[in-house]
Amino acid sequence: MKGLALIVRYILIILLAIIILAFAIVNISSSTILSKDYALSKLEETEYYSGIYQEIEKNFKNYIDQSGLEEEVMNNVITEDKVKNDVNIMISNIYDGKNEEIDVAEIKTNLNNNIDEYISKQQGVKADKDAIEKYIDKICEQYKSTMTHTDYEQQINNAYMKIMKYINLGNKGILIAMLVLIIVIFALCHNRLFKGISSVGISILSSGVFLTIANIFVNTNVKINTITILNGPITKSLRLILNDIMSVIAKYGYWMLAIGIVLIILGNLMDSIKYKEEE
Amino acid sequence: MHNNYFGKTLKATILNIIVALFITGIIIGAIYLLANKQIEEGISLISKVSIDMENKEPTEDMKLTTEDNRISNYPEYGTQYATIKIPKIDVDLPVYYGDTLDIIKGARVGHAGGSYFPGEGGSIIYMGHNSTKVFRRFSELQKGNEIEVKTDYGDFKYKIYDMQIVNEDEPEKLPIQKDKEILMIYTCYPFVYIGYTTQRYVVYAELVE
Repeated sequence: MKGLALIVRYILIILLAIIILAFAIVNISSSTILSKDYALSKLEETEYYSGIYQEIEKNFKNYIDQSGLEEEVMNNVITEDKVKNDVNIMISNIYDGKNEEIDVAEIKTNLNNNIDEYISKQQGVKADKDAIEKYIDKICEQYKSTMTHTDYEQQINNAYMKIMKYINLGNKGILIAMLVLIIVIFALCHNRLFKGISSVGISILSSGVFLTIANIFVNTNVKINTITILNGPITKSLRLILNDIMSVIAKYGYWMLAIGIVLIILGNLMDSIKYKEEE
Repeated sequence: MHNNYFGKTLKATILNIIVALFITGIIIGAIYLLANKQIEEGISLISKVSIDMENKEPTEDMKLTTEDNRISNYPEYGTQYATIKIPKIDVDLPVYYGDTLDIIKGARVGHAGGSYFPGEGGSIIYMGHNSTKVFRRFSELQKGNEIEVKTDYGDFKYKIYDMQIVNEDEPEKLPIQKDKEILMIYTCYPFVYIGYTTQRYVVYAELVE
């Protein structure tokens, strides 16, 4: 009977370790990549807005050579504030489920005015109204694609909402499961309360070791600082977020290692003192 | 008495740590069994978008193998690998591998990805802007004019045999084939125009040397 209780206790310790890991993963993801405030703070930190503004200006200038126009027509077509506002619209579309379109009317008007002014200074150059409109539409398309890089904001938001729903439900479930497992583990330790403490310590230590190993594994196999996607500002932000998540995982791992060892030592020490006294 | 507590505690602690490590092993083993393939795929996907600029291995020189007319060590996308000369219109420009607007900005010629390289015996597609620095004077070209392409692995001479104005949605006018080495160079048409042009002026040349 005693042996069976011991086996059941160890199975519950394994389950508790898995539940603690799930709790850590849910908390890490909801406080980082799944948080809108976190995403916005990281974009600020990497100076994403000014980076993407420069990227857009550079892309606009790439369209100059083929248009027969001069670079001056791109002057004051967009502002950094407009870019910041549009990035925030995109972030809201993803995180808040809004379906707001990026407005390019201001860009169209500015570009039209600049081109009209340029044409009025030229002589003997063919300028077809349709071709100019088509050119302006291309520039606006380019702006939109550099801003969003995806046509799937709505789908991303749907997936995000689903994840958040499961996370909120899961979090409650995880906490209840954790509490139940701890109570049962303590109950299986009979009168030796401190053995229960060291058992919980084993679970926390296992989770801590797992997170530490996972962190080492990712850092060895994935070179985060060489990941390059789409353009400079996106790459910079992505690298920062991934590095940040890894350092949060490492922090959770170290804390769990420390708490686990303290609980194990404390539980065993108190248990041996109490056991001796009872003897 | 104290030594006794300490010894017991130490023994139990060591045992508990071993159990904790064992449990971690069980969890890792389970993950390995269940998701090993997915983890490997994830790592390989990430390594595909990783560019290590600091520890980049130097690229080997391009070579043309004579047996099968294939290039070994293709140039990196966005890098210069040749120069093009069209003496008739005073063109002497660098050729970059790639066809994005960023690659062909300024006075550069781009090489369309997917087309063959000089010497490979197929269709080669080059493009450049119609600005004065690049192909503005294309209208002056005539049948029989020469085009020279110099690469690190050899020099190639082509002779113009046709010129055509095509629409941007007519890719069949720039066919990819490997029966004959043809150099096709296009630029936006009309040459002096404001706005988005939907036509292209294509110069066709065949390999002579």
